[in-house]
Amino acid sequence: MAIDRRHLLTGLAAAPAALLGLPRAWADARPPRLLGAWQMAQGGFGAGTPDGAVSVPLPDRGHDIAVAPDGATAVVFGRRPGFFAAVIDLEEGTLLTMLESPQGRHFYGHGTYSADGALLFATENAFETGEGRLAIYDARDGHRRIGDWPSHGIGPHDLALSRDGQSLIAANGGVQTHPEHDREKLNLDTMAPNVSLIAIADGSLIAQAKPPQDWHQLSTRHLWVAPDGLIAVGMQWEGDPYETVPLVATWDGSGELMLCDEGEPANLALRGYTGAIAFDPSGQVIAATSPQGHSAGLWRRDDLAPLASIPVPEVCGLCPGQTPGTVIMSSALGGLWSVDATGAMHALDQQHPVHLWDNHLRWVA
Amino acid sequence: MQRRDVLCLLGALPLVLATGVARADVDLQALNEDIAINHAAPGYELFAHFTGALRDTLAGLRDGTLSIDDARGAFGTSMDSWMSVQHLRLGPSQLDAREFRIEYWPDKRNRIDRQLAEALEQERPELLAPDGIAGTSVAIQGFPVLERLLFVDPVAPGSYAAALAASVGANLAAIAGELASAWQPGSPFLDDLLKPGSSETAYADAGQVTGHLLTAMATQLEFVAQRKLMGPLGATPEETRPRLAESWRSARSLRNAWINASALQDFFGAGSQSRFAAALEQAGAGETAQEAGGRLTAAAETLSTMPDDLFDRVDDPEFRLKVSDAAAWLDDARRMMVTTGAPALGLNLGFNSLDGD
Repeated sequence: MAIDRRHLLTGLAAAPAALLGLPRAWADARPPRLLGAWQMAQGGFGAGTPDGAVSVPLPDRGHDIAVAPDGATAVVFGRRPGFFAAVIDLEEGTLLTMLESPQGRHFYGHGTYSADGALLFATENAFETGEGRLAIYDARDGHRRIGDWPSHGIGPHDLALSRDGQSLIAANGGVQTHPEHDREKLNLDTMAPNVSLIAIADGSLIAQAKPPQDWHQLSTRHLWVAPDGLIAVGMQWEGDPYETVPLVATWDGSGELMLCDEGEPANLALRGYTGAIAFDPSGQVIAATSPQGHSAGLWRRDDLAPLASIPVPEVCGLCPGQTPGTVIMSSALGGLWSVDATGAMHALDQQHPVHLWDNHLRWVA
Repeated sequence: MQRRDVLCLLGALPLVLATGVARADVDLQALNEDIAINHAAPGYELFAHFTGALRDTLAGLRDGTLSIDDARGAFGTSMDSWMSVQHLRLGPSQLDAREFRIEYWPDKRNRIDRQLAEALEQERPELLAPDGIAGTSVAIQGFPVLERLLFVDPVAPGSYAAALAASVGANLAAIAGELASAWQPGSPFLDDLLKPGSSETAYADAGQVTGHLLTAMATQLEFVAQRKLMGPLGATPEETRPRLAESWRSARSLRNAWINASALQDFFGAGSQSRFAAALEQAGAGETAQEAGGRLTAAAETLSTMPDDLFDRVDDPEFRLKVSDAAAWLDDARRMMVTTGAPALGLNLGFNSLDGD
């Protein structure tokens, strides 16, 4: 493509370990490890690290992971409609507590800790009213549920913490579901997705961005925050599957979303769907994966110019790599790779027989 | 080109003995090798051959040595060869979205018309350079823009439009050449596909490769039945929407679907000892093999008796019934392969792609 990849790569500064998304306090204490939910090839669910040092069975499919700032615990949320969240002791590699969603609520599969580690937030569906909620847990009191706030939209999915720790960012995908109707989408004609910036002090709405009205069926689903605070948004198209729409956006927390060019190959190859989105450690490259398209794309962050589009069967899991310009990807066929900004893939060591990686990956220590 | 000629080409695929080691009952490695070596590789070779001829013909049209009819003929044979491999949505065709660069369709927002009008208006010289067009928008790179230049508003020799057509043809030939090379035995991609479990490969075992092949087949069956046939045909004559069809400008919408169905028949492999039909028999799912194969054959044979243009006789109830029957058989074949065929072969079609979140 027309982009000068070399220029981009030489422009990347060396990434401090903290930029992997790891809390500074313990980034150097232990070598970082990847953590993800998985299915066993023979059946059964769990979550753990590629080397098998952490391996915790789960009652059903897990989804994303919230990692505590001190590195002591990680929470694997049950996949939508999820009724559990497993708090894992990362030191021991064992299950600490199993949280259950209250009556009338289920998890959407995502959550985040506050910067001081005192609170855990999780996206929830109040499914009788269809309202999106953010559940609040006291992480210093056995992850006890202490209340909830509105997510300021329907169908909140991913939840991220702003870089300054003062706000939560919720991707309200806009799609209403009810556990009694399986995963059926109940409001596609009227859906109005948004990304909301929410004050962590009181849950109030600070700012909100929506896809253009023509594309109101563009469900804002996944988020990643760059080292400098820019938010990457991965979207899923709920309209005509053969319509071409942009699936990757950035948001600076005010104003409009900046959308990628919908007609470029990297976007087209996603086939209307992103399963995960992340920055590289430097924050200069955005990657998005599409299990539907069996492909992953990489974009330059400043102008969302496409850098590469690569075919990867059943790819989904995604997080920053260990060097600037790289990301980690995993697949539901068991693959795990480091991928650079030109799209070159390098398989990573992992325990065999392989576990089939579910949708999300995070770094833990 | 006559239909018989295309079938001869498909039938003339070289026979190479698969070298896979037989396992307990179903040899999925042999299935993968047979499809890669005896179906995909020769299909892409033909695609490269015909787009090479298209490139040369369009250069002749630009220079005034060949006619618009020559160019339309070369366009037709190239499209035929593309329709024979369009279903192979894995590996090289997905890299840098080559599939979309070859044919950006459907184009609901009319990007092609807009970008073509702009290109012709501005006479951008970079679009005439081989690397120039490859690096530009997918909407201006492939068959659909060529179809407009040859069938809607035919280009005049020596014009910018004729030079643009030649450039598009050269780019198509280059992409086809890359695809043909990528499917040649010994290529890095084919090594990856046929040696699952090696460290850099995307696939852990042969079953995952077969699963991806089956997914590609299911995708194309749905694409042809719904997008190419039923969408444009509509439930009633009043709901017919010709412009939703693929290749309506060159009046070959139905021909595309016929070649697609024939290619899927070959992919399924009723006459082969190691493709899906044989594998299902070996797995004790002979009934699925026969029923799915029967539906594919019925659809391909019905479509082979019909005109190239989907809208020739679109008000004729008998014609409409034949089209919707063919679409229903393709849908049946897809359902059988996914719900019965895949489990019988022990295939994991991948939970990520089946039910995202």
